This record gives sequence, structure tokens and C-alpha cells, in this order.
Amino acid sequence: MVGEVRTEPVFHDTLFRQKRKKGEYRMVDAPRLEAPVADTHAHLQLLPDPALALARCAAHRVSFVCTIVDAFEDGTTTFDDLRSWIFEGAVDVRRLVRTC
Amino acid sequence: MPRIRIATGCHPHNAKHYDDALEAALRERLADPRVCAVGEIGLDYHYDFSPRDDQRQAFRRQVRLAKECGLPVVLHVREAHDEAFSLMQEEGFPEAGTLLHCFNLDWATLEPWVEAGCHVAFGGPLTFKKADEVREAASKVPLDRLLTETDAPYMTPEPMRGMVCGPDHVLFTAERLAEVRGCAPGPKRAAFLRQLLANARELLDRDPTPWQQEAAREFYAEAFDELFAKPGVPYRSRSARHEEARAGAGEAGYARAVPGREGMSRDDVKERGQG
Repeated sequence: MVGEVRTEPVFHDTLFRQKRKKGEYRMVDAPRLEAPVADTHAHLQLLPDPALALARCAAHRVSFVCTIVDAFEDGTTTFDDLRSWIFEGAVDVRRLVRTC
Repeated sequence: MPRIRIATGCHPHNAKHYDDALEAALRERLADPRVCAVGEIGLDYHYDFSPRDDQRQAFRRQVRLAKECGLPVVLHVREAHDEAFSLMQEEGFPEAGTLLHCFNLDWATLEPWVEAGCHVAFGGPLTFKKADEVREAASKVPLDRLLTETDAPYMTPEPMRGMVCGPDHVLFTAERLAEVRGCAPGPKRAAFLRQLLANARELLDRDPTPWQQEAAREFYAEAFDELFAKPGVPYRSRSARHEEARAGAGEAGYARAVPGREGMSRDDVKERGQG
């Protein structure tokens, strides 16, 4: 947790991108790993679309996520919305995998 | 879909706001069975968004809280590793575990933490071009205490620095970490990745602690009492009944006033941890 989150378009796909000059993006190949991996520290509620982030995790075999909630500034959003993020993500992932 | 757990605590940036009320709110959150750790907590002397005394106090109180709850701690330490380590030694490292998050320094800094039995998580900085010392440190952490992370939406790994980081960017860190540990693609890397995942789940995907179970029971007891209150009998909350009993009923009255505690003295109740 170190500062403001940059703003950029939200891409509804499973691709990884690198920012280039003049607002352009270059695709980056995702590593083809042999086993699922874990993200032990993410701030889901600070992401522009937490459900999409979880859908992308499912598509890329990130099978465990520990999300961080700050007791002072994050309120109850994660506790209240986590279930719906998972549900929406599960719906999203089918669409994402179909279209990519 | 990924399995998701929550770590919650007061970040050192917000330590100046840590008081009894915030701790009470935090306790309530910690009772949620989805919570697996207290964090991120620690010291950040780089930004100093909170006075250092406040940071130390909030850190110390939350380490004590984590130990009371039986949960591990997730530490954020920046430009304060020596002091944070001393504080942890004074308080005692929680039995449930200590996770040093987003480690981005050298082995000399990391070694005492590893010696103390901590888990260490590496994120985007492991992939940065000028981070050989971080990679060297990562190569020395015992395999069963090594973890991957992102710190999303921050700390995007190479080659995507400058983009918003998502939890799936952890793939790039995991790939680089495998390289650092000499695990070539194939069966060796597969085994390495499986171990990293097992480490994460063992530390963070834990069953609710006895403290969490008890706290949750207390929390829901009120709701159940209200739901099953007898028709025609005015509802009095559990806490109201406790208060009434304490206020004037004396020893016998106390036991009568609280259902399930008939015949128990106040000391009995305390001894059984129901007070």
C-alpha cells in the first residue's frame, strides 16, 4: 500500500499488457506455468474491477488470493462484497475464456 | 475461482488513528471466519505518514492482538527493519506465524527474520532489473517459508511496470522466482510451484481459531436470542441481561439472570471463559 492507483482503461480480457508511448499497449505473453500459484498479498478492493481480477485469476490458475483490508480506511467493502465479486467473477470467467 | 482469504489490520500509515475504538472494530472483523491473519501492520519510516511513536504503539498492540486471536501477522516494514525486528523479539513472534510482505532488500537484512522462523513473500520487486540483491536474498530463503505475492494494484512486475497490477500478475513473479531458485521449466518447476502454493495455504488458508469461533458465537448469540425470543415476553438483549445481573442481583441473581449459567458463580463463569 504505497500511494494512488494509476488510471488506465479496464480491458475485459485475460491478456497482459505493457504500456508504450502515445497511449498504446503491447501484449506480453503470459508465463506457461506447470502448476497453480498463490498471491498472498493483494488489495482487491482497490482494483478498478475486483470481480474481473478474480476471473482473470481463475483463467490463469491463480488458485489462492489473500486480500488485505485496512482497518481504518477500507471500511467494510471487502467483507460485504467479496461474495458478489466471486459470483460475478465466476460468470465473467466463462465469457473471458470463450472470447480469448 | 481462486480461494480467497482476508488479512486485516491497521497499516502503519494509519497508525495515528489506532485507538480503543478502532481496535474494537478490528476485533469484530477478526472474528469473521474468512479472516486468516492480522495485517498489514508494521513500521514505515520512509513515508512517516504517522508519527513513529504512534506506529510503534499500533504495531505492538496489533501483535498482541494477533497472539490473543491465534492468528499470524503480515508485516509491512520499510526503512525500519532493525526496529521492527527488535519489537517482534520483545513481544515474541506469534506461534501462528509471521509473514514479511514484499521483501525488497538484501540477504543481510533478511537473515535475522529467516532465522526467527518467518515466512517471506516476494512480489514485483523481485523482477526489477536492478534487484540482484533481492534475487540473491530469495535464493536463500528456506523453501518451506517462501511465498509469492503482488501487492496489487501496486508493484507491477516486469515487463509491465507502469500498468495497474492485478493478482494474476503473480505469474511473472513466480516464473522469475523459479528461475532464481534454479528450477527449470518442467517437473522441477512444477514441484517448486506446488510447494509455494502449499506454503501459502498452510500459513493463510487456516481453519478459524478457537478465539474466532468463540467471538463468532458471541456475535451471533445476540441475533439468535432475538430471533427466538418468546412471543409476549419483552426481548432483552444478552448484554442487557448481563448488565442487569451485574448491577444489582448479586451472586445468585447473576447466575439466574443469564440462561445456561444457573447455579454458576461469577468465578465459575470466568473460569469457563464465558464471562
